[in-house]
Amino acid sequence: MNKAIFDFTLHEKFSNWKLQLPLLGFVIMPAYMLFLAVQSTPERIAASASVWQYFQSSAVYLFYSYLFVSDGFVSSRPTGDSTAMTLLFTRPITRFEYVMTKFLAASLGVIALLLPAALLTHVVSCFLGLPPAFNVSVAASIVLNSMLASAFVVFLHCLPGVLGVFTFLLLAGCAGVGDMFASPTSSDIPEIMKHFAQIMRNINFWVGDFFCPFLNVSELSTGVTFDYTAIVVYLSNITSYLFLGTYVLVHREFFYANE
Amino acid sequence: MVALLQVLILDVLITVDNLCKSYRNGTIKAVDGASFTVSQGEIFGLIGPNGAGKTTILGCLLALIQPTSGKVLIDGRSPYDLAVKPLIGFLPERPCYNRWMTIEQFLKYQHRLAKRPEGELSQAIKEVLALVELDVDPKKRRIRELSRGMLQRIGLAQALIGKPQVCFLDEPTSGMDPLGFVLIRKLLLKCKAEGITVVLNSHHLQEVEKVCDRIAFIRRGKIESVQSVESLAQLSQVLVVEWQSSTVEVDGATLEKIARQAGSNLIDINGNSARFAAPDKDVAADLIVALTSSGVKVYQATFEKRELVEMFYEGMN
Repeated sequence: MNKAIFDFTLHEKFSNWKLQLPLLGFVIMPAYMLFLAVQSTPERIAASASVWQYFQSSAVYLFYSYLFVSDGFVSSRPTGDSTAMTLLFTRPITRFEYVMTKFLAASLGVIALLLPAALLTHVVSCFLGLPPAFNVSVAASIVLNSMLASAFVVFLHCLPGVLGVFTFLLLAGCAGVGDMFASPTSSDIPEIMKHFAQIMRNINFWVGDFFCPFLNVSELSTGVTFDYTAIVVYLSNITSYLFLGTYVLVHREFFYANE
Repeated sequence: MVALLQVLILDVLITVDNLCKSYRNGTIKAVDGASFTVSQGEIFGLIGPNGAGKTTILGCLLALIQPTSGKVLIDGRSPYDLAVKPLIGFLPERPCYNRWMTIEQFLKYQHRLAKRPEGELSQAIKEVLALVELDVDPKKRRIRELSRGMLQRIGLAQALIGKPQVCFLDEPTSGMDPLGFVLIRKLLLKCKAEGITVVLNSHHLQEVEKVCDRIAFIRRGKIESVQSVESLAQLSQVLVVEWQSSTVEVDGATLEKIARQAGSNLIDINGNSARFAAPDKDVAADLIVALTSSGVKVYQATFEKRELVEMFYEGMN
């Protein structure tokens, strides 16, 4: 692991005042959503459960991972990542070292956002007298799925040009819209939109199940038999994304003058 | 083996041998069989028109672009070898750095990426900022607040912070004011004095001429000529002679005859002036004597100021 890149990846996001406020917002948002949802409906338990779905959404993990993986996110000039990478790879750093460092830093960053958010939601939940939904299994799910999403986004980040960004936006967008239509509050949508919603739900399922299958530690630990397949799929996905990312970077060419 | 011998005997630091880079299944050849060597401590210029392949060659030297065929060696090793990277400093053409960072943070980051000892950090930052003559507070000024010329200086500072043995500079004077030009020249000469090898890619031919030891002229991906600046200066000069209207008939045939006698050649006539090719100053002096002896009232004779690129073409022809 390269300490300079690790420090830089996290420092870039947490030291920038333009991002500190939105990051704080991301931490507070689920708890605030829970508060509003519980206030607006008599079905308090169902409303609470739908808010806790936030911590199982592919779109949320993908978005937070992208936030930490991308070098150009806080740059006010849309130069993409190639220029930063070009200069970086003239330094004594291997492609694998870069991929691993980005993966670890992004994982830590996402965990640092989602875990406090889940804790805060739990505190609000207790305050509102709702049954506790946060436990060690939920925390473990957040940690493990943050790592998976980070590995996937690091792989996308390694793809050349706008391909990675485009793929990310497509997948995260589909997952986000799918989540939105899948929520219980969207039952009164117009007929024409239902077909669109179904497509989005299918894509969301495909994106979630194929690229970032959510590893539910609660289900794993409470199941009658332990599902080894989920663990194998999870580990093979992370390994594949990291090796594929390294492979792409090794074979990728950096035409810095064409940026 | 040959590369090793070159490194040991000829002090060659960079070897580019029959380098080719093509795209779209070979239909577009960005670099077509480029070969040259750069010795330790030499300042080597790459010049050529836009799209000639200069940046692609630089990309191959930096292991950012993979050659289709051919060989690139830096200090006897492939540029992909991790051991080569600490020897390299690179100034990209477009200074897209981490804009949110302060100058100090950026240089600190680059110093750490170059894997230099932490103990040298503050001294190294002071040194490179002094070298690039950037008189701003590095702790307060952010990269996004800097002008284009200042960014170029920061780019040079980051290229030098790893104490490289070879610097690849892509358009170092881009966006710089005249003082910046002088600074670059001073810096390059300082690099040369310290034995740092520099590969320079530039459109500013006068700047290249002033600092480079040798120059490669690239056109359509091919290196058409590699010449020392000294040998270029000795290429045939053009003497412009002007005379007063006189009774002697001055026509093309007469002037050509006189020129040939003096060892020169007539290029063209324009009214009461003519351009002659003069290989050296002696021939030019002989030509003036021959013209005045023939009754041509010469009142002015000057060497035409010529562009490096023009001399290059002439040298190649």
